[in-house]
Amino acid sequence: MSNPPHGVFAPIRHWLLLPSWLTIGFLMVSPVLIMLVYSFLTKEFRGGVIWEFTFAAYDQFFIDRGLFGDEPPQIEWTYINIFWRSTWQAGLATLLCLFIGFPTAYYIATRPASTRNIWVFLITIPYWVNLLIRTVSMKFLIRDNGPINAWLLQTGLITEPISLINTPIAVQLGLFYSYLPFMVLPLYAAIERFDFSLSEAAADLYAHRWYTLWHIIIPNIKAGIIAGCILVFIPSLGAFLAPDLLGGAKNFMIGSLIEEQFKGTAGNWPFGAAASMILLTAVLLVMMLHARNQKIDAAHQGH
Amino acid sequence: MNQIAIRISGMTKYYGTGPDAVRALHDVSFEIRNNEFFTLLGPSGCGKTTLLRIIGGFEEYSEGKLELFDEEIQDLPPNRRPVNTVFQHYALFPHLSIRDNVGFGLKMLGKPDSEIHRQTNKMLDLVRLSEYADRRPSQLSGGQKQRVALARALAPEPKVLLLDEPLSALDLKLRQSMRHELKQIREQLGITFIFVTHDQEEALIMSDRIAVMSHGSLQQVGTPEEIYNHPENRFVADFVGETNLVQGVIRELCSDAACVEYADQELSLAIQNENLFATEQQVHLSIRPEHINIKPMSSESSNLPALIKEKTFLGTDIQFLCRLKGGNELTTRVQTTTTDCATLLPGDSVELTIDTKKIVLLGD
Ligand SMILES: Nc1ncnc2c1ncn2[C@@H]1O[C@H](COP(=O)(O)OP(=O)(O)O)[C@@H](O)[C@H]1O
Ligand SMILES: [Mg+2]
Repeated sequence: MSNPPHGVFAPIRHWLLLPSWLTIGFLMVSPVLIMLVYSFLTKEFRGGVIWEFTFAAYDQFFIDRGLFGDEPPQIEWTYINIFWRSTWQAGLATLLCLFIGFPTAYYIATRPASTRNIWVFLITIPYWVNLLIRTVSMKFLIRDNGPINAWLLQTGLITEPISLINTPIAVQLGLFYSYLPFMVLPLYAAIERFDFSLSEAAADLYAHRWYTLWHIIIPNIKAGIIAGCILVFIPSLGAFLAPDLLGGAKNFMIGSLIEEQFKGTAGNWPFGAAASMILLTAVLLVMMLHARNQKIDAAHQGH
Repeated sequence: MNQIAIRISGMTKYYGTGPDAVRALHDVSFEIRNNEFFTLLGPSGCGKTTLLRIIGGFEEYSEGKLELFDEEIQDLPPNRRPVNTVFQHYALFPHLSIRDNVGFGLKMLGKPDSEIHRQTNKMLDLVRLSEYADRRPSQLSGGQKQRVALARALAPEPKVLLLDEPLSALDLKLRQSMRHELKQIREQLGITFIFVTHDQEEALIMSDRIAVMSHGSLQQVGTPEEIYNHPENRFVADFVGETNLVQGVIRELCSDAACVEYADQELSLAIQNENLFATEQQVHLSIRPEHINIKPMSSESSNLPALIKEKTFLGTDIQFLCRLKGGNELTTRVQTTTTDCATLLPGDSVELTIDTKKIVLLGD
């Protein structure tokens, strides 16, 4: 912890920090607390809550007591399966973004300094358009009679349209397209900072290009890779537009599940809040693991 | 023994193409002998790094030929050239220990672990860093990093070692001891060093031979003595060591001497080749400060009379800036121990004696 700068009295310092505290308090802590409280309340039909404490929402998520609630309790797999499917969909989308994003970022970072900003700008342009519209556009692109299928049919590469809508692949494409810049930008920042005389030194010392990539470049831009992966994985995990619009009912993800609980009158607010809290806990665990790894790394490097 | 390690012929290099192209090297040709401490010397931006990077294989060239032990190596990528580099900013791998940094090249050559271990230890011993083997580069000082970079480049036993201003980031004391150390290590290992520096003092102290460059062109190649005592042009005379570059006119020429008029004096100077000069030609004289003697004015002398304008104490030497009668200025340097000079002050009348045998006559 740093010492207070001389000449600034502690009380003033606290006042100056007030805006930050207010932002963190109102925009970060209180929403989570509200969700936490709501997840323990009783649901009101037609949405809303009754202020009565209960574990019902968590019970509903994890435990199956039969249709009428009178059977011996068993593990409820429905939501765990959705959760699991969301995790691997998000993980896969993250990998896809990494595989496409890494060469992209590498390419941009190795252009002359004067043209790099243009490339970065080009990457971000589509993201000025609302996510909903982009996702719907994706649907138009890949549907059975969309332009991609039409083109493939015309060139004779396929004889029947490839049906992508309502498949996990469509969800992957949607997630990939939604979050690619979150991968490219941190990777670009890391690669741009990378000292390429290190890869020259490796080549000078007889290293093959692939060896240099894996053992010199990647270890030194690891922070950027991890940042990009987290930035793609977390929103993918909670995504609902892509699974709703491109995946259909069979490819329901946790984000869609939560969304439904708060939409219209069919919802169940405490259940939605509980699912959010479970998602948040999972994400926090991943983040904490990452933080611990970084600490271990830092200790190794003696920073 | 006098095998040629590297032969560079007609080397020309442009950065970029079209009207914006920068010419970094222009028709450079020279040879570097095996086991030689060879220095590329020149001001910043003259193309030294470019030339070194071409030898290392990091840069392509536009024209010319590059031979390593009589073999053309143009098409070999850096990782297949038996040449290693000590990079200007060390370029140590930050995520590897010192030991792994030094052993990197051997590992890439597929050497067995036992040999890597033995050779790494030997190199760490050589640069006196054995206790630091398990540290990371970020935990070392500048001078230590420098020595790791050297050990890392030497470990695979390259035939030629390239060093790009390896000492420029170190402070003076460290630089002086590293000069000594580098020279010793080279003698111990007996491999060819190609050393890049913009520091003429460093070049003179360390090198067997020096190539002086300016604006991408080679100016002169020779031993430190040749470069210092017999500069071939004004650039070399001026850049290497300190000198008074003054203008004179040739009044008379014979086969091995010229009579040159300078500051109302007729100086008889030895010349190598009369064909380079003509009578009444404007020429430049390079007169080193240490070749001008200074003493208090005595009436009967016929030497150059002058006035002291500035006096600078340099430790072992004192330097005087003197103004001649015609307005010309000359810098002279004498050893502090020369008793009758130490008391001279600015404003004093003095007479100068130029050691004419040491004057170098230069065309334009
Ligand atoms: N990558 C590059 N692109 C364009 N010009 C360059 C590049 N590298 C060097 N130059 C130019 O080439 C000339 C020689 O540079 P360099 O070899 O680095 O000189 P030195 O090492 O002697 O200081 C300089 O004018 C420099 O601006
Ligand atoms: Mg340089």
